[in-house]
Amino acid sequence: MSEQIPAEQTAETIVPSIATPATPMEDRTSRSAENLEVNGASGLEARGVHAWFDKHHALADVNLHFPQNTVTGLIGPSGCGKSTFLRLLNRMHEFIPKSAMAGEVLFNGDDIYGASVDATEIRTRIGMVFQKPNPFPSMTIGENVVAGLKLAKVKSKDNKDDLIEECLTRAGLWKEVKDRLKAQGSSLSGGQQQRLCIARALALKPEVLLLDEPCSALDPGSTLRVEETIVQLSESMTIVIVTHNMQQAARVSDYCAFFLSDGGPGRLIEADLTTNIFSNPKDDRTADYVQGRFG
Amino acid sequence: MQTLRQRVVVFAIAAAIASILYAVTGLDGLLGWYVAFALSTVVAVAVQSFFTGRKSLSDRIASAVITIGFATVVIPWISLVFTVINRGWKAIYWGFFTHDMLVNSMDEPLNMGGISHAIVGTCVIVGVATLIAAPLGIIAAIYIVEINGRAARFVRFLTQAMSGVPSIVAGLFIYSTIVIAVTHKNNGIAGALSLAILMLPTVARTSEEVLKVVPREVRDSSYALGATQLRTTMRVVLPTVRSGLITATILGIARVAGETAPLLLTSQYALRLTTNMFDSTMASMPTYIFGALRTGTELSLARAWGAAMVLIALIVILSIIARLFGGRTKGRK
Repeated sequence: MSEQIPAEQTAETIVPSIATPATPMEDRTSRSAENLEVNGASGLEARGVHAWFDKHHALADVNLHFPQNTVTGLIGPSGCGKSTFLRLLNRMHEFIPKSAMAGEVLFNGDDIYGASVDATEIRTRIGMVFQKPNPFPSMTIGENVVAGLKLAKVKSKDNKDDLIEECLTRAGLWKEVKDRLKAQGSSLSGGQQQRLCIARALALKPEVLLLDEPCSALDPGSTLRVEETIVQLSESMTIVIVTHNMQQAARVSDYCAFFLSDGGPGRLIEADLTTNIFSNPKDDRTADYVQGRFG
Repeated sequence: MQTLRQRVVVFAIAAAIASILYAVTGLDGLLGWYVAFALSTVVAVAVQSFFTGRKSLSDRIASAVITIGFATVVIPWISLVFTVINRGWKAIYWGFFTHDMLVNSMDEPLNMGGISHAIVGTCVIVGVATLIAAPLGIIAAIYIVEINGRAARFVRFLTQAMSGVPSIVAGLFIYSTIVIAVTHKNNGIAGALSLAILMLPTVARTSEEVLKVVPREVRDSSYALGATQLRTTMRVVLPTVRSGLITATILGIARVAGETAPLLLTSQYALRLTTNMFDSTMASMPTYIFGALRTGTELSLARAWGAAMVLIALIVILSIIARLFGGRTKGRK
């Protein structure tokens, strides 16, 4: 991104260019080419995952590996099961009434659906940010950041103020809010709120961050700021992002996984390096989708 | 937009039509004239819009209907407050708030005796009723909305059915189950229990509506941070709707503070100031007003109006205090 955007320009004035996704994409892949497959054994891996809502089979037989410290984009048209799949990765799926799943999700080698696994503990290690920015309305900006410590009953060794600063800095929000940590989270703009939600997820120091269309409710300037944050975070954590925005997938992800439902359950059609998905997909349906012929 | 002059003209025409209607039809009294005025205002506005521009016709008529509806609600309310103050102020003197009626009768001059016993009695009885009903009502709402367990529908149905229970039935229920069977005498706690029964459905249903407003994403975010359902409810959902829950409780208090029938059967009537809920009957504002009305003399009626005025003032003050001390989320407008 840096080649195209002068540093002096503020985020608000920049509209991400739709016509030229090539440069940032190459940036990403050249970075990841060095360390791809290095950490192949660790990270997150889905094996034979299915999902049901009542009797509706929503997702069938997904096998997908998320290598450590990479960004994987989940793409596909609405209703293809990509958000469902994302929620399976930190056991948020089970909050939906009458839902069911099958298969394994291996996290550093252990199945998170194992009998002895505490789901709440898994969720502190696999964080999640949702589509709509939703800071807790009853809390200030600072309280929002460290809310997870209280909610998950995690004892943090860090000083709270230091932790707040660290998380907000990593989420790219510190400079904007450092003088008003006692203001309500709802007083921020939509993009700032979303970065506050990312900071809130970071406070628990998760190893994986799941993002469910984090920018679909944001304007282009805020989207860009969130994307920069994602790229920076991916140096130290595994990120999975669901997106409807092809340019976004190209800009931020190392790998892309294309999901599609042909009327039946959603299936994983193709997963590969993002460059391959966009420039040389193996499946015709992937090619049609990334080139905007449907969906 | 209409100019002020146009509005005045329209209302003047409406008033003229109303006066004619009033004269030629069987409409009678101030209320009759008001009904005629309301109808003719709508007609006048419609006719005016017909000439000035038909596009705005339905808009103007709707505005007129809403304005009249507002007036129809507000005028009786102002009239009621005015009547209570107008008839009640004569009974007010300092001793009215500090004396009880132990050594005075209802028919004595208005500078003797007071309603301290009734004020204290109502505060204690309603206070205890609130302590019982507000937590139970909020817990019921949490069960219905947050937990949404198997019996959620049944509990919701039950609260709806309970809100339709006539107040005297609540009094009879406590009279038969507590007064006759357990305490063997009328006392304040029985009164508090009967009011709690009436308060419960109001608090539960209002709290339910309030909890439903919390977006699912807020709960999801909390779960995604590794919170259990209990912690999500206690630390995220309830703080978010704190002011709504306080409103629910105030509505419940307002619902029962003026209840007379259940108290006549339970805490009954007393002349002496007491805070003991278990020993004997206990005075309260509604039963005091009821007693003063039944005495039926000029002076006792003035006492009744005075007490009614104090009761209304008490509820207003309570609402204001509740709003000031917790009606607002921290730092939020």
